[in-house]
Amino acid sequence: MSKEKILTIQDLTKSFGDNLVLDGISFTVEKGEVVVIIGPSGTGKSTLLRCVNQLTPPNSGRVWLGEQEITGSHGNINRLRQDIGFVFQHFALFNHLSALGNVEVGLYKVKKMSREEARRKALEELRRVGLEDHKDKFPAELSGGQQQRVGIARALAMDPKIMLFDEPTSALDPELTGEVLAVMQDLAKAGMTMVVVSHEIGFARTVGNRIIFMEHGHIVEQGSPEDLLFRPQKDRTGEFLKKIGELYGG
Amino acid sequence: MDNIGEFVYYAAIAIGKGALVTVSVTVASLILGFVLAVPLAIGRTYGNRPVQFLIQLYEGFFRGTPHVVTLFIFYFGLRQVGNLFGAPEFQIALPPFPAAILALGITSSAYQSLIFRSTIQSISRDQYNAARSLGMGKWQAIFGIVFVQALRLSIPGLTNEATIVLKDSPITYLVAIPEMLTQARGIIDSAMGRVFFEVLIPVSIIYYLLFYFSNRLFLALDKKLRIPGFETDQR
Ligand SMILES: Nc1ncnc2c1ncn2[C@@H]1O[C@H](COP(=O)(O)OP(=O)(O)OP(=O)(O)O)[C@@H](O)[C@H]1O
Ligand SMILES: [Mg+2]
Repeated sequence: MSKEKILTIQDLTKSFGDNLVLDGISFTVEKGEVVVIIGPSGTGKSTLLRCVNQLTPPNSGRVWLGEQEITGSHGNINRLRQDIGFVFQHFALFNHLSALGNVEVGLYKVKKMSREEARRKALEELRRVGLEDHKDKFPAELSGGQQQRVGIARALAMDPKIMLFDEPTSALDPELTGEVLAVMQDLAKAGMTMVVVSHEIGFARTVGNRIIFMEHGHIVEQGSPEDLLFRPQKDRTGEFLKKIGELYGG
Repeated sequence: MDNIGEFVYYAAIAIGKGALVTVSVTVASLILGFVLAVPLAIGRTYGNRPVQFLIQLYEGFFRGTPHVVTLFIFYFGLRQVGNLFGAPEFQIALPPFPAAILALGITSSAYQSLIFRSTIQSISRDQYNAARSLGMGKWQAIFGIVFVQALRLSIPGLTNEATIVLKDSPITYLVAIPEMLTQARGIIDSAMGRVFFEVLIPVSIIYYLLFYFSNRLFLALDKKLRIPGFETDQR
């Protein structure tokens, strides 16, 4: 019996001018699954994630969140985006709001919770990422790792059905990467469905259920971490893994 | 002696009234400029091509035209606007105050729009995207997240703009606004040239004080609204 599908992507294409960035991407993500996407720079990984929540509208193809179609949902998109948590490479925190303010703003502005209710829930989320003691600090007063954890708490507060991470640790010093990956690992353990663009092979291997290798807007190969990392079917996959192995010392 | 005392008394009252007019015209123009500049800057940043183009034209026109010409257009020009269409009976005769405030306010809106646009652009596109990804609508993200920050970062620019409008306000004497310099000129004329610096020096001091207090006001605002890590006050 197949499990519940959370995300279905069908034949997605996107070009910027003459530059064809996504060339027919299809895959599905099941409930509780952690899918890690790897691939060279400029391959369209970020574009793919942004097409999922329509921050970048695709040229063609369809995307469903559960049974709900996201593509072409027009007026409904603001409702659907609440169910898709998005974590940005450069954190994208709201600089004029404290850590707590960042997490609660979506709750009272979008979910229309009362201010007290929003505050209570935001504090809970900050506790979950280990930052309740820093709740009153502003983004500029937090380390990169702390900022990214606030970014994760902000997305989690909306109670999303899926979380999308776009290279969540690539802007961080190696010492700070661990604290963010630990939060993500806890999240995966708690059963969150996740799509993670990342070259942290250790994370992909221990936390990921599946790895997708993308290049030039195509899925070259996908499979379980063990298969893809140690028994890649395509030469390109092996070459790429060798390259990031050298870069990341993995 | 009595004569001189009386002269000083009336001169002081006239200049005091003039100072109030100067402040009113300046504040009203700045407010009008602000109200117009907000949609202009947002349209210029987030609008489609035609909207951006029209706003660019507007900004270019009012920044590129001497302010005196703008003033004349609103005061004299609108009275003759019917002539352009061969319908001289059609005219818009604005009284001096509305014409002056419109001219200074619209001019200021072009400059304020520029100030806001550059601070809006300094807020990363990522923050806008983050707001949208939480489910905020376009306008909610623009006003609730981007513009509130841009506004705070605009305070130094607005401080400067307030000073400029204050010092542009004397041109309204050309349409008979009884502002401070108009009053000063009246006093000098009525004394038939026997006083000059005796009038202009106090007037200059009042201008300086207005400048000083407006700066203090904006500085206090800047301090109150500071965003940690994004202080605009460099001291
Ligand atoms: N808004 C845009 N306008 C024009 N071109 C874009 C835009 N966004 C992305 N691109 C182009 O699309 C291609 C794919 O970009 P994308 O950011 O999706 O790649 P990526 O796989 O995430 O790369 P990286 O690993 O460097 O983050 C690149 O060639 C990029 O220049
Ligand atoms: Mg990317």
